[in-house]
Amino acid sequence: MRRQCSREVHSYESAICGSFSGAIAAAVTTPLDVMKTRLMLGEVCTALFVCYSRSYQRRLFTGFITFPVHSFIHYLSIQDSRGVPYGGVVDTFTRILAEGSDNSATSAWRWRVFFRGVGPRVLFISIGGFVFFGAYERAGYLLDTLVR
Amino acid sequence: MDNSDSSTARGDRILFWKALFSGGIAGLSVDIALYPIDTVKTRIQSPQGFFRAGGFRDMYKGISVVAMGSAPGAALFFSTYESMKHVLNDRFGSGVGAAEQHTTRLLPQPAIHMLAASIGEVIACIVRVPTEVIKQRMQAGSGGAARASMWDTFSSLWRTEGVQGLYKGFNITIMREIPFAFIQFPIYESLKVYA
Repeated sequence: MRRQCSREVHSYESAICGSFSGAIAAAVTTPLDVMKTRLMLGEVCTALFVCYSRSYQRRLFTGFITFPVHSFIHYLSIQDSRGVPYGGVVDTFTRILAEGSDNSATSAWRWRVFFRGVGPRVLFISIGGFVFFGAYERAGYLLDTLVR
Repeated sequence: MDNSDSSTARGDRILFWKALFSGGIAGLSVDIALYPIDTVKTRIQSPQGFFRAGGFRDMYKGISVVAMGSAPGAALFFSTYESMKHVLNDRFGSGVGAAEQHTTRLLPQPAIHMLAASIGEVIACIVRVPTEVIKQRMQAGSGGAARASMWDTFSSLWRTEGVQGLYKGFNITIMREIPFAFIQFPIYESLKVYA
């Protein structure tokens, strides 16, 4: 467990390591976190026609024949807040990107939408990493002294 | 539960329960202490935007879900992580008989940590994803869940969307957690050596 260390690693040292490594990982994976939040806040269509009517409430009725077809396509898919289904991870990605390009002129700037909440995310995981890894080692140490 | 018929050594079992206990306590204390930061994050990321998702109001909305799911999730992760690390080290780590002229290792330590953490994440997601779905809906108030209690949010989700509703975002959660582990754990374990 302790590897080739000449001495015990203190719990505060573990905490700093956990905090620092977590902050880097959190910042890099923020786009995936944004996509996760969007998918979780959407709705799943589990009934064919319920899904259809929710998805197209604000749209024109496109046609009597396409109704069951569209309904079937969107069966079991996840919708965004406006009731438009996400067609999986790739579709979620392109839609969030499109949302970014609506509001900004430069092409690099539109990627910013994927880094929404990066501040709180890094803050949570770096403070959380500090407390977690410290508490983890500490709790283990306390348990050791209780057992032995 | 304690006396399982497997031939695990006593030390392994202690390690397992130690990880379970420590992970649970640590996870719970972090999630409760930093909950408002998480609420801010969910609202910033929500499709309707920060202020329409609730702004700075009801910052502790959904904390009851976390109080229930955090310890089992963290305990599941850490017990899997520690035991997988052990298993993988026995199998691939020391390269006892299988290694040819390469005397040292088949898999480097960081690879073992990354693999163990990834498996741990997938297992933990069985508990974490339903917790996350209900928590995030309570935080952002979407799907008519504004001002709803944990039970209301759960039952409306269960009624309208069933199990799929509880497990939505499972794939993307794993797609987020595995790169996270692949970045964090090697950094963490190698920093600890130089600490």
